[in-house]
Amino acid sequence: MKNILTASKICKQYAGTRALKEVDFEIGEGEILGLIGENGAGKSTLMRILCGIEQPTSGDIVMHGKPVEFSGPQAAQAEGIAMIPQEVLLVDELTVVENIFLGHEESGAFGLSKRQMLADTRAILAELDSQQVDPEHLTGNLPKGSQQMVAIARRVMQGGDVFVMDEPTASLTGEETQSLFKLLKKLKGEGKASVFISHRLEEMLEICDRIVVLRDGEHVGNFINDDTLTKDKLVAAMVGSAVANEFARTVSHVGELMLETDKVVISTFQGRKTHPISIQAHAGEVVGITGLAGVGKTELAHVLSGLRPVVEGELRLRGRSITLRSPVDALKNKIGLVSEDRRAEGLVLELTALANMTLTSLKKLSRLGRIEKDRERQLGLDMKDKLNMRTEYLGRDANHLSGGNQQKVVIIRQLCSEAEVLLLDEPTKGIDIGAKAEVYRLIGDLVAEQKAAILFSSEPQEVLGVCDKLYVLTSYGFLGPYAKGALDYAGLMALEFGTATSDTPMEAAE
Amino acid sequence: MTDARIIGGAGRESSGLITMLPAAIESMFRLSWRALRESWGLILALAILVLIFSQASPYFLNTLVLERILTNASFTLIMATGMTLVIATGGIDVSIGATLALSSMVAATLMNLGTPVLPAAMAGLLLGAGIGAFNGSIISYLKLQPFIATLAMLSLARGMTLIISGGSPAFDLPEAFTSAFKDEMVMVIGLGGLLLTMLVMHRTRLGIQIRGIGGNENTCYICGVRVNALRIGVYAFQGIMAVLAGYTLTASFDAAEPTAGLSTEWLEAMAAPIIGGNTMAGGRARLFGTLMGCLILATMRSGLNISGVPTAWQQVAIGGIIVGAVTLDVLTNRKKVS
Amino acid sequence: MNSQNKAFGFIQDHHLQLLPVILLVAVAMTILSESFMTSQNMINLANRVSINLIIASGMTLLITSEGIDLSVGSTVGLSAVGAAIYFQNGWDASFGPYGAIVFGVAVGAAIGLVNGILVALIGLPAFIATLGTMLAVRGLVFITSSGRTIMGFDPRFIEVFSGFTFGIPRAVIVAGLTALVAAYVLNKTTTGRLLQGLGGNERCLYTAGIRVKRLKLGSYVMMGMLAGLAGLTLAASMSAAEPFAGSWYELDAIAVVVMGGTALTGGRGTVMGTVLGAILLGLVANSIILLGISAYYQTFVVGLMILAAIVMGSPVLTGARAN
Repeated sequence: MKNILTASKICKQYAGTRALKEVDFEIGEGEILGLIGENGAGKSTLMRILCGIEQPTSGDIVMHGKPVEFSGPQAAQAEGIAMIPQEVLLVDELTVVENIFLGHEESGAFGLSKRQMLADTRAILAELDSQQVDPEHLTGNLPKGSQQMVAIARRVMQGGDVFVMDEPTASLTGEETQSLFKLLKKLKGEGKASVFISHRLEEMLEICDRIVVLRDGEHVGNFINDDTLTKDKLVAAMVGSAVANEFARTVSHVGELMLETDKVVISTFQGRKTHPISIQAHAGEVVGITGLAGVGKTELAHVLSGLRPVVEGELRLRGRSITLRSPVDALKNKIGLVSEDRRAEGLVLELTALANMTLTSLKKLSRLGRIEKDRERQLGLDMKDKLNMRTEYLGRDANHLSGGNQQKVVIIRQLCSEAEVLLLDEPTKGIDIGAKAEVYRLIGDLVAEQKAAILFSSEPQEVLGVCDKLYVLTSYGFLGPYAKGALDYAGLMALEFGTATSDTPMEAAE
Repeated sequence: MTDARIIGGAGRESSGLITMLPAAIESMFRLSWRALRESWGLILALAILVLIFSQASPYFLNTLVLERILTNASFTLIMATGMTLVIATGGIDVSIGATLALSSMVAATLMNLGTPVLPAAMAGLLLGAGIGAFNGSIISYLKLQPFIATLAMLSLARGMTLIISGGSPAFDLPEAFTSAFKDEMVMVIGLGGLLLTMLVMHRTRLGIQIRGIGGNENTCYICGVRVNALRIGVYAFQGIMAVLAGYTLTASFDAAEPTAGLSTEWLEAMAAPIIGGNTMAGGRARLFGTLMGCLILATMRSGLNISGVPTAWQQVAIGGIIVGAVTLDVLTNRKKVS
Repeated sequence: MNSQNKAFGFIQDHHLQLLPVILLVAVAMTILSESFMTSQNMINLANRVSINLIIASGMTLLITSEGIDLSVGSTVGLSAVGAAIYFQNGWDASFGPYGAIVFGVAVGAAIGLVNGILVALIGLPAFIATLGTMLAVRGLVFITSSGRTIMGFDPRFIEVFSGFTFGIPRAVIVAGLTALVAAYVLNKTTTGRLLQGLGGNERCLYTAGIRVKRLKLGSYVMMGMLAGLAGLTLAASMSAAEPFAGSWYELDAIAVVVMGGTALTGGRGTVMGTVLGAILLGLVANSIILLGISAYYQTFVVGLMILAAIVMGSPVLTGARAN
């Protein structure tokens, strides 16, 4: 088998951290390659480098026997890399056929060759067993799975030698996944290679010829997919040796029951309903909610903060049933959300750090509508001491703060407004290790003051280290609570990937 | 190696005239059917309006009145056709009234200075295209909001018109010019422009790409659509359409007025596409709907006139219709707006 | 924004960039035209600047919160005509001459409320909604005035806006107070902070549990009331209410706000900049007339000034992120 693409000694250095360490990687003609690793292992970074979206700090890529350098996505495309990103990039207002040919429309002597394009679209959709998708339908009205199929169809239509698919099956149904696999096999038959990222190990075992495992930016495993390969072996490779529990913190006194969901069903962004979710968060407790991408963690955080409606079930605060129609109700009930996307949702970038901190507690700091700036500043100074933040940062625009400091500002806002239940959605995403430690310390301080914190995170080490109690959202059920120490890293991964049945002791952490 | 097409390479039909003809006829029928399906509500609304006004006044159903309605609708249609494309890209152009006045004034002044009709008219059209292209360029390259960029242009072009004209109309235009843009020519230009635009929007890639820009600019960019060039072209086209409308207005008054296009004309040109089911959020180009929007507005205006409603109330009504149409648009497309 | 505590913290130096230009024009005009530095010309100038500034102060808050109101010119007209009708109908017999002020401001508030409902509650794009009300309200102006200029204001009413206090024209005092209050609200109060937040990131305010709709609604009502006040000032300065009163005032107001340095993308606003913008615009218009240049150049120059201001404020050139 001839190699289409060989990447050697790829390194990627971000400010302070190494995302990839001398990764060697090759893809042969007609090969379907799986790429796995937990969050932050470096698989997305590697894919982005292969597709020209990011450039490696060092290392070489050889394609078709000649060295290449991808200065941008277009350059990678020109060499035959076809990327299908996780986020579906379609124009909702255009029809399926228009989307598939967007930018590559076919014209004859009398304008667009509509019939030809229609026939080609039907052919490729048939190839993907998606005949039920009407090519003249607006894509915006299609279910998410069909949209993903259309996006895949467009990429395949435009051709390429190496198809890079990042979690293509996340929004697909079982049958759609099978159709995609059929297409992958067809491409394989034509000598084209595919790189396939997925969290679903059973899919990997079903379709891939070879599976590469990344851990902490290093290439740690290369498995030929034969009958002897099992999910357990893959999980073991991903997990590696025992992981140090670096975020350990002292446990505080567990107080009264604060927020409780009683068999709450919510709908995910993909429009699927989750299994009934029942969680209990007490004062003085850090509750973790974890699970793979797309299982509904962020959606649950949104439901608890009034941004999304409850489909079924009941929310209770201190035993009293509550309805959250909007975030205004959440604020009234002293429930505060620290959003996953701080720049888009968490901060007003044009305002200073101090103004962002006090955004929801202005009433307290003002008299007759006038903000008492001395008191505001004093509050800021008190808070900054908790944070290890330099005084001058308080007056700086949020836009000019580092990611870590921005995150601290958002959390501090909840402290200022005296939230009693904190919902933290991926609070350490994209911040460096030092800032992470401070965020954890801050969460620890919060619960020590008899507040309840609910941590929504997809980082296993984080939830295992920080949380007193853990719930796991999976596609096959809602699991938990697991008391601290009841699960180890391997056990959690086994639950998330569905390699273990939920026979782990279900100790309630009362 | 990238264009290695995997599917549909074989069995390509030949694009000879004989095989194309049935296809073209078929697609025409399909398009008409789609237009009807999308716009039946508008057709119904128009029918009801006609019914009401014919009951309200015995003079309404009369060839003179109908001709007047069709002429007025065609005048609005000239600008509304361009506006439909601008709105399809997710933009807006509030400068069309001022562009119309300036270009007409420039052309008329040139004619009065002895320039032959054709070069003078071409100069006006070029100016309109230039203004549009300028709008499109600052919107594309400086990332300005279309509304505010064209608002600045509105002020500039209006000022320029006043300076050139000294505040007084330009009279005594050559017969060759006025007769080319008068009476039934308004309808010819309006319908001709509409049909041509429909052809481009349905039969060429431009149609798909213009709507694509309004739907998701980023995706278009990734797919290799030349987003900025296309947008500049759309605003330039809108500029040309505004000038054509200006010429018909100039011809019907037999003079280029410095205040032409400054009252509600340009607002109606903006309202007609929205009434016709195009959305402010972009991504849609329903030209048949725009035509119906123009007819509804013109019918309203004539009907209210004949029924003895004062002009001021008509203005209130049109303001209300604009707000009503946009409200309907926002309420039915809420998903996109938030 | 700088949160350092100064006695006049809300008057910030970097918003004074128009000051040298203003001084330059003023000095040049003093040399070029004898009639420039006369008290009569200064009063004319002050009146013109004042009416624009009353509207522009409100517009600064509105644009800072990423809103806009194109109906202010029509509102000016309706408030002026409203006050005229107040006296015409003899309502002053029962409510006194100063009731006209309340009436004019209430008319403005009502239009602002309609705009607020359309923009904040229904969610229409602000410029198209207020374009519609601009048209409809102008229609109402013609209907209520029957298309004629109305006179017959009570002198006591006129005195309120066009008299002098300590030798300063009252219009200037009204406008100055309006600008001061607007600057105070924007820089010192909860409302101002939230308006900046609204313009910077509405989504953030919403997720944080701020009552965004109420805030927006209130800002449009405030804008309507100020346009009403400007209409009264205009009517008093002319002792008459014309049906065309206030036409194109929205453009002047937006122009001076943008020239002053308030970002059209929201989040940052400066009332001080707007004050200077209004003075500069008034000066330029005044100069054009005094220098004997056709008044028609005025519109063109305003257009050029807006264009220059928005180009300089473009997210591409300033490196700010586009909203």
